[in-house]
Amino acid sequence: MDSASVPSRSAALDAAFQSPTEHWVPLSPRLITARRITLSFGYLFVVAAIVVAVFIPAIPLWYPIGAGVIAVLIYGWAWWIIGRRVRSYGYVERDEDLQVVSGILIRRLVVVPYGRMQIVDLTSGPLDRWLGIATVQLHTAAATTDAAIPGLPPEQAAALRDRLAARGEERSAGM
Amino acid sequence: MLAEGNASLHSLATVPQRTHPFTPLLTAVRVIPPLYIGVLVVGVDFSSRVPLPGFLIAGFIAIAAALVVAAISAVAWWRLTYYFDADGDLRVNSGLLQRQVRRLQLSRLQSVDAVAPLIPRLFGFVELRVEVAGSGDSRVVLRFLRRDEATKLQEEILSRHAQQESVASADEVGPALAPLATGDLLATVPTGRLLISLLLRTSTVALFIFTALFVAMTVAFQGWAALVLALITGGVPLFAIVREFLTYSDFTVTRSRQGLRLRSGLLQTQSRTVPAGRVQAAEFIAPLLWRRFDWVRVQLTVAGTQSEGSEVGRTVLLPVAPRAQAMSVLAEVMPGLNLDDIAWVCAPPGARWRAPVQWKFLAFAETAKYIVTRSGRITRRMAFASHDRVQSVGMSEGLWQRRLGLASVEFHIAPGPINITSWHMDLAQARPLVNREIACMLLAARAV
Repeated sequence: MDSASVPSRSAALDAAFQSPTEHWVPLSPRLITARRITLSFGYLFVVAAIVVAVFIPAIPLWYPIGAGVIAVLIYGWAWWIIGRRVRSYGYVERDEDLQVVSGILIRRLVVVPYGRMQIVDLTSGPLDRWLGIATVQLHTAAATTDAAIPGLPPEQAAALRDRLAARGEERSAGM
Repeated sequence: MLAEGNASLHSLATVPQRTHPFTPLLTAVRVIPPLYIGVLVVGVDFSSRVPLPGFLIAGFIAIAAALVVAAISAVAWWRLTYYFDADGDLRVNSGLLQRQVRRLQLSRLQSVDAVAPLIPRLFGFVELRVEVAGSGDSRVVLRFLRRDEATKLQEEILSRHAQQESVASADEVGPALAPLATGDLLATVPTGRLLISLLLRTSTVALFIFTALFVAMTVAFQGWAALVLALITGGVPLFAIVREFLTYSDFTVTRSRQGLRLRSGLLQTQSRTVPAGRVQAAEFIAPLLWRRFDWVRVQLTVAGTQSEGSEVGRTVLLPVAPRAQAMSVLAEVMPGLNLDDIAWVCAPPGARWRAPVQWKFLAFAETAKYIVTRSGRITRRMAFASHDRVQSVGMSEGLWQRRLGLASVEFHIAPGPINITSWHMDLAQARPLVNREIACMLLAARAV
């Protein structure tokens, strides 16, 4: 929850997205677990396909072996990138706006003034509920506003949703 | 005070009314030609079994079907009533089997369009399309009404809307709406210019060049495959030209108390009103070959509108016009917009490695009320939005952009065809731009 947990790489560039003077709140590490579980479930099909291939005599054995090696490499990379991606998220509630940063390959910042928010959604799928995380999603009149904060502990998410909704109501202006 | 007096006058509920009793007849007559042709095409071989010429049988079938349509439509006509309720909103009851009661909140009115399809138009009938903001089914079509009835109803809806707006917030009526005389002609599009502009669009020209190439190949190599391609590459733009020509012929823009009135169409006259307050963003589009004439097309994103067969929010304000005229018409819905002494901030030279073709034309500019971005080399685009219509601001930076020290800034506005993004700006300028825009958005929100 403190600003020290924010990853700091190539500080000068990142400062443009994530001003170091603000109090950036990171996501729950449980989101990493959730995404890795989803990834692994997807990989069950890959593993099944490779195992089946091993037992089909018409396919030379090194085909499934090669595929397996590639699959393991991609799996490892995805595993690692999920951790970095989740840690790259951060949000800060300022006086008049909410800012969200995300992404490592493509770095993004979204700034939404409270007065422009129309709906604040709180969602949590079965896996999320089991792990104890929830997603707060902001909607404005623009469909292109992409401000989602996934992977917050439910109490923190609900409190954030309530604060945002209250501030949105207070400052509601302009469509 | 005046508004209040009028409001009490207007808030009286009216009695439910029906559309014109000829409606079922007109609906039926409209289906005869396509049915007739359809039956003729599908049932070519009746004549072998029945001792009557095919065109007569097809005629009977079409008329019989039209009678069924007339019967159903008569019930629908009987079931459809409309009236203004005590709150001054438009209620429409309809439904063939299931009763449907709709309430159109006129304070959220988006547009009232009178559209005249070919056959009803011959008899002086139009349909009235009323649209309010909101998701889902937020539009109602009243068909058919006599033209003068439709005009009267249209005016009534617009004046009730204006009143509800002024009651809702007495000082919100923008300067652009209040003191104008009605019916000022602002611009027309000459037919010749429209046709030339459609022919000179980049995609059209490119496809016609391909067509010529394919035809030349056919002649040179005696192969027929290229001719099939030529039919496609020639046919598609031809179709698009014909369609746009029919849609945008006789285009006129007039100023009315409720906003800009756009009217156009050759076979089917469309008219729509664009209230200044509903315009979210505007864009000038100038294809390569239009530039020697300094022509632009002006399109708008208008909140919540959806006309048939086009994207959400898209409204063409002017299909083609000289830039100066386009600017003066646009100033009607975006008051105070002036590009003469605007300070463009261009993309840095490093952007050439990310966008080699268009980097020189990438730029943004800020004024007290508007954000302007431009992009594109072959087809140039210049997009405008006022700060109070921007919903949120985004900044993004890909790997390659990071290497070059670039970032793109996006201004998110209501759904529509217009994308306001300042591509590949210097990172050192991008973040301050985001902050300034947010400050302007807050300021604009307070001013309202």
